[in-house]
Amino acid sequence: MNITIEEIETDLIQYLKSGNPLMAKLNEIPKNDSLVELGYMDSFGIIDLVTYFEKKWKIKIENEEITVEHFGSINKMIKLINQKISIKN
Amino acid sequence: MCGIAGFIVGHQNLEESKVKITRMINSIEHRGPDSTGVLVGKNFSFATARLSIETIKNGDQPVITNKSRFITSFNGEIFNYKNIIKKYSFSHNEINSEVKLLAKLFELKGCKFIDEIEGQFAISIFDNKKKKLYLFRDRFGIRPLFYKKKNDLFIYGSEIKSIAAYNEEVLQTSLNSIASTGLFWSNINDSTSFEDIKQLQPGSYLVYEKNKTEIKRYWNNPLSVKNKENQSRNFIEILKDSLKKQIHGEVGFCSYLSGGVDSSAIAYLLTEIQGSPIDTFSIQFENKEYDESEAQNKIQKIIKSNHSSLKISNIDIVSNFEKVINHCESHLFRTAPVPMFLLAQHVKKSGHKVVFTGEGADEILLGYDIFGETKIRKFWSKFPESKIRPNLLKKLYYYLPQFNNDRYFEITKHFYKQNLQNQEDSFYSHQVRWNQYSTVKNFFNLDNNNFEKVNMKNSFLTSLPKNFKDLDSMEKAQLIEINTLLSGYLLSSQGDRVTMAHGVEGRYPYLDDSLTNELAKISSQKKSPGLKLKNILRKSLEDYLPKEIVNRPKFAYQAPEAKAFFDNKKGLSIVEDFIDGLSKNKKLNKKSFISLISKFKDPNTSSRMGFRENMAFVIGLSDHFLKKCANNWAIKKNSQNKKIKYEYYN
Repeated sequence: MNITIEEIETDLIQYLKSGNPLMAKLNEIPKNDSLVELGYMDSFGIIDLVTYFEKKWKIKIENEEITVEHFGSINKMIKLINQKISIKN
Repeated sequence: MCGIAGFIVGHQNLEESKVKITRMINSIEHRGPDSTGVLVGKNFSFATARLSIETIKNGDQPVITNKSRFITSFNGEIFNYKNIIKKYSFSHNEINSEVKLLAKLFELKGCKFIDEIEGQFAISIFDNKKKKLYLFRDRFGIRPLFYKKKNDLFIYGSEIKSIAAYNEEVLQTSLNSIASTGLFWSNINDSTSFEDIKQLQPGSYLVYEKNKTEIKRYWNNPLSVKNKENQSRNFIEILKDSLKKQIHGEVGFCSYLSGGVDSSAIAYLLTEIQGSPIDTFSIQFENKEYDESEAQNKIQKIIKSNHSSLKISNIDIVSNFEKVINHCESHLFRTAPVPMFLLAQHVKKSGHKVVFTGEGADEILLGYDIFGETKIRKFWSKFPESKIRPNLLKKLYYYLPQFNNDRYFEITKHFYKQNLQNQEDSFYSHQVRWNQYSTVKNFFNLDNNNFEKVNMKNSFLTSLPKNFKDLDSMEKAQLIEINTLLSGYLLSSQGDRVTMAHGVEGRYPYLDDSLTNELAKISSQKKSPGLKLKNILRKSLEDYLPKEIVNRPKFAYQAPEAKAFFDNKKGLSIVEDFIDGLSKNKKLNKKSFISLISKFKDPNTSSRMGFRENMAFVIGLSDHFLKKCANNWAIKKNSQNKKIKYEYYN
């Protein structure tokens, strides 16, 4: 199974738009800024994302990976997911 | 306990004044169903709707004293009035009610009389010789008082709807109030949820003369006075004194019993003072997430009270939301006033007029989590890289899901680490809570510079004592809580407005003047050493009540929020009506709300809605209903009322 970065990104943005009323109306979602600092999300939002990624991509995110370094922006999250998927394959 | 209203105007004939003051007092008749007195003059009129509690026979208002010079009316209770009569050796025949005492004491001492009065009150005194109106409000803002000034017209009333009734005017809801509710969870300073309507701030008085208004603060919270003692009386003794003082009146009393330590202490001591079981009342929820019935039953068994609980469902919340908004007259950030409204109704039906509550204890005794959070963040800031220090947060917020699971601790911790070092910030304690504003704000059209967080914080700072910056971090946090949530929400939307909706009066022994003075002398460290919140109360109760009650951790009172509107027909029809109104409401961001509502409706996404989304929904919906209520207040109503006793002043 070959999954591209674009696919991960499209899916993530679609997921965010479907569940986040404020992001749903944005034309362009900022990819390098923290969604928390932009006011789109709180800690519940991050928990929701972790749960979603594990289910969707069948990956395991370790406790010590749930940090700002990996969840501080959309691009950081994509990078983490991509790494996990490639290791799996 | 009563409702008062009045006005001063340049020119008006007697008949017109009579119609207007009648409309005003009729609109707040629920506050005083027992008798209504109106004094009609050409350029002024005053009225009181009275709920008889004390001196039932002699308490008619307004009273005219000193050869028709002073006209006095008031809403509230003066707990030390017998002591004052004794102190000044007033004649019992002349001073046979609280309102007459206020008039007499004012004649004697002028505005300084207020320093001697202990209680919960809103007082109006008109000096017809000097053509000066004085309004006074109690120290914590237990009793409400609103006013509006326009050209040569000054109107005031216990509720905003009585001001609207003067000219049958449609009031406009305020965008500033939406922003303030989103950030502070309440209106601040003298603002209200309506344009041009102000509130007299707690601990202040207003003088109106020759079209000019002057406001003076007569009281500063004793917390801001630096003079700490180490020794003090046992807290239970202090609380007992306060209760004895507040068992005042001729109509009996009962108590709320939430299951928490504050109301347990009150109910226990009231039982002891009365020497027989008392009547107690509580809320239970169908939804176990919010329900505290287990804890309530434990304390009930010990004090053997005649306990009655009211079970609240989601349908109850949605069916009564509009009624509650009509009474609260304010933007709300949560639905919690609704169960309190229904509980007061239940109390009234059971035959009671007076109910004791534990409100205020968390602010006075350092009970809220936010005090613990501030302590932990300060401790952590001294060693920000410590792995161990932030773990204390887990102990504090044991009941929140993001702390329950170790997995998420690293990222959750990050939320509390923001601005950790910035202790120079006057609002250090509230930094984390107030971050929610960045999300909530996006649901409303708040692009104006005035609604930037920093500007709103600065405007709030002006209402705090001058030496605020010199206080310790706990005292600062206490004053912030007292000046926002306590006076602006708990005592009004969860207090006066929902109890008086049914002609029931709340008593707040933890906010007693002597108790708060005595407590202010005790250092924060002693009140809550380490993370032992409210330790001074818990410690002193240990000799009387079992440990499981005394040491029960705080369980925040909550009610079902937005989701209550999405699982039943009634709720969904309200939501449809709300959507219909969005196009005409310029304050609400239509796109954001449409999107939010679709997320709540969809079972796949509704569970992903957090605290901030729920809060935005409740604020938005409350604006929708406030507009409806304001329209209703302006509708022409029959201005007859057979119960009214009129007096004319020519």
